[in-house]
Amino acid sequence: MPIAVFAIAIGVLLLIGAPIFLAMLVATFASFELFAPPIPTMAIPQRMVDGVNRFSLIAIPLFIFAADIISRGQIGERLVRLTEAFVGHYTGGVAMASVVACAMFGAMAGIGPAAVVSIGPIVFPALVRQGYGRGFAAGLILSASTLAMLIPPGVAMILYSVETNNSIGQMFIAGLTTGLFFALVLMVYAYIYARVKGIGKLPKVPWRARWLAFRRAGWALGLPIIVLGGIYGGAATPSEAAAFACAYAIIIETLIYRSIRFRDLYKISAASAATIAVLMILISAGSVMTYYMTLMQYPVQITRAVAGVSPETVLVFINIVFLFAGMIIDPNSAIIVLTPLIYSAAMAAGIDPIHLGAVVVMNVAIGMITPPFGLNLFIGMTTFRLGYWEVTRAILPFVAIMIGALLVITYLPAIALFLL
Amino acid sequence: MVVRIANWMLRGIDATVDFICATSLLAVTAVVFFNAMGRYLFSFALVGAEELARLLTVYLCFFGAYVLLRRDGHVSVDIITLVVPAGLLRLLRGVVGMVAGVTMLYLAWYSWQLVGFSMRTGQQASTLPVPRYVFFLPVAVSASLMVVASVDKVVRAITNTLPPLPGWTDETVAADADKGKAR
Amino acid sequence: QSFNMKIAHLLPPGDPRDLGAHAVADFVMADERCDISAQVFPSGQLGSFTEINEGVQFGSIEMSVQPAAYMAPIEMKSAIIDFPFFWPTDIDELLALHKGPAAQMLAETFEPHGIKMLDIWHTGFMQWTSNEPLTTPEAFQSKIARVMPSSLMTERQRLFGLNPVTMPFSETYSALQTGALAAQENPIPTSYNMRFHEVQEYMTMTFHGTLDQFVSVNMVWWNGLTDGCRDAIIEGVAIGNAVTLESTMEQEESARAEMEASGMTFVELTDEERAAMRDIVFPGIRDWWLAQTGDEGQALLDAFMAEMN
Ligand code: NA
Ligand code: NA
Repeated sequence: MPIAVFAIAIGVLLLIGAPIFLAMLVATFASFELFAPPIPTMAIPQRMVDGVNRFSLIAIPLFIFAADIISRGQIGERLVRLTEAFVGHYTGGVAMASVVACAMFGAMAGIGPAAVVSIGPIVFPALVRQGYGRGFAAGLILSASTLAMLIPPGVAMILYSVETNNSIGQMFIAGLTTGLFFALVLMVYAYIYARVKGIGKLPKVPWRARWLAFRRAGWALGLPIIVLGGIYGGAATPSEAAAFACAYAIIIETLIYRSIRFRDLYKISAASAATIAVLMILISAGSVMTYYMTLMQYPVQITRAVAGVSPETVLVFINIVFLFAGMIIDPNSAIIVLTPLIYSAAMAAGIDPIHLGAVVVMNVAIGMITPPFGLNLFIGMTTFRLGYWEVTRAILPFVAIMIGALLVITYLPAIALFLL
Repeated sequence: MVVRIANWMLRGIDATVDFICATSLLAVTAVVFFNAMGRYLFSFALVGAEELARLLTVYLCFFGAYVLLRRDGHVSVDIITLVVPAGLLRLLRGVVGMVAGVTMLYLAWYSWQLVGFSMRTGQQASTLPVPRYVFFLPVAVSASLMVVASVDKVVRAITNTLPPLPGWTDETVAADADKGKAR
Repeated sequence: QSFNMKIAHLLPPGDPRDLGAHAVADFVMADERCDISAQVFPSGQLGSFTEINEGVQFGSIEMSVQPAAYMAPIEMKSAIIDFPFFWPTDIDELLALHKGPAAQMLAETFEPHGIKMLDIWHTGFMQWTSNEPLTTPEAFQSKIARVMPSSLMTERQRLFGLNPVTMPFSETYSALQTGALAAQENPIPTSYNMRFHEVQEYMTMTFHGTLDQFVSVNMVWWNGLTDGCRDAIIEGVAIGNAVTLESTMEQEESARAEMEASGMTFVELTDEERAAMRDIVFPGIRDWWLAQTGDEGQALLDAFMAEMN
């Protein structure tokens, strides 16, 4: 009953155009007042602050700021031109390169939204210029960015391993092969899409011009090197790499390219701050909603509802539960709260624990881009300036493909496990 | 007259909050950057730096939420608002303003209680030499400001002085794309 | 009259303190004297350590099992539990101290903060993991180490010569793997449960501190309970203490065996090596702590020292 009220309240408010964070808060506050055992209500603002007072989240404002500086200056454009010079003449080449960029960049940040906000603003205009629809471009970036959670390192996989007492190293290897499989599926789709639509193919660029594009990229190339090198090389945490990216971009754009003046920085900062707040307030509202559901032990109830089902259906059930959870609560909380509940049932059914981890993480990731509700969906709206309806329509084919790929992963454990 | 003073005050609040947001972001960047540089170049780490960056992010989040409410910049579902006639849209925006006002009043009320509680217990931040309540202050202040912004929305809906929604038309986006920008 | 008790802690299901918390919950729910429903929320489901402390203070969480380091921001005097090279490495001696009059004095320091501290649970001795043995003070110099977000722990690592960095537990694995961190300190079961042996080569057995947990409850809630409930909870917590201890001891052995099997090298310290570390770290921490806790701190320290001799 409470859950129905919850859903209806959110639905009505959303339909009349209320901000999404507001709809979440109204439903949560009302549920606390009406259905929860009395707790000191001070816990509500406390949990809202806690939701954004997180170490792993600091990377997000910094990546958004860096992306804003880059997309207003020339670094992004020069990097895109370089990519076009080398892969632009292949059908779907730039789209496939975008998938690789999102997977790599997202991978090191380890959290889904980071790739959308950092790579998105740079590759989105390039894709549009190549003739891809804005919907396709947004859908491709949003779905490729979810790979961040699978390709190591990733907080979600670490949490799963710790919750279930499995090797993080093995989980990372399974995440890598699973993530590469998903990237491959997306690239094949991008290729077919470009082929069928007859787009995404530029004339072949002679080597001389490629060399020029490379020379022109010069300083701009330092940026991916700093960020990827910094994190994979162990010199910096993702947040620090993002801060380095900001500092490097500021120096290159103001002093070398002279495309941005120092006094513009304040304006860019104010504009970035608004983008950041869109996201952070959603995370904050999501965390108080998660708090309510945890307190009410909804996950326990859901899991109890299927106690005693046949082993064959356990995996389907896990798919559904985690996909749904990924839609409404943040991925890390979903893993912390739900994994212990389904784990013993899955083990009893003879499922490989590492394989289960890959399935769980991917489910939660897909949940983030599955309409009607999902954090990355909303982030896509602000990053690409798309309406809710546009994003929803654009993402559906990608969600269908990702779920198809997920089913393959679920029933062919070898994809996740063959390197182990 | 009252309206003009109210508008003048709201603009003052907007400018102040904008300033807080912009400087918070610049400060987060500087704190994380110099802390990392210090650690790797001079083996010197400020233990509170990480918590300071988080604190600034909290300010960014809640004050930014106020800015977005003022500018109708929060993400929302536009399935109905895109197609309804102007009169109905005005009504819906008034209703949303009222819901926002009540919700933010509720939040502000409990946030100030939390700030007061935290002040009385005297708890400190874990690594930063500041009292813990400074983490809760932005929710309390911002929720209070959002009550004011919501009242403004309702008044504007009644007097039919709401600004147009900042809808992203295909033209503005196409123009942006030409300039090589996504936003 | 029926009650509800939410028990919050930060570690995953199956950790010794989680088993202890479940033992408390199971015992009080089965007990005839008390009509109470109890749930355990592991893995920081109800918030991180600061939020759990606040929750216990304002009553959204009834009971917490938290490392002493995380209670220090509330009451610095309680940080004496984290003194390095101070507590006996003999379990029986340590447990006797946890039950003695000085520990009672320590418990009372929480009362002005709205918290009733019921018990101290032992969850192991701190050891260092790293990619080289840490047997001499020189070996620690300028290494970047993960520190619990506590001022005493930070000062303690500085005295070792380390560069302390705060970092959430879930991020520490990656940082150790990439080399962004060079070392971290924890009891063997905790390091094992966090899989740190996958990314670290050495465990140096310094026994430099304990990782002991304060079991605390909201004071107002506690005072509003029936006598039967209070008795049942006190007995339940004592059972939880035993369960946690037994599981810690078990995991100390089984985890060590598995870590060794996976290629980790365990390095024992000689008495001289340990004494050299003690001379560097202990006096500094004692003076640092006394400077903040004054005469009351001195009295607490004297009380524990009196029981030790
Ligand atoms: Na990743
Ligand atoms: Na979703």
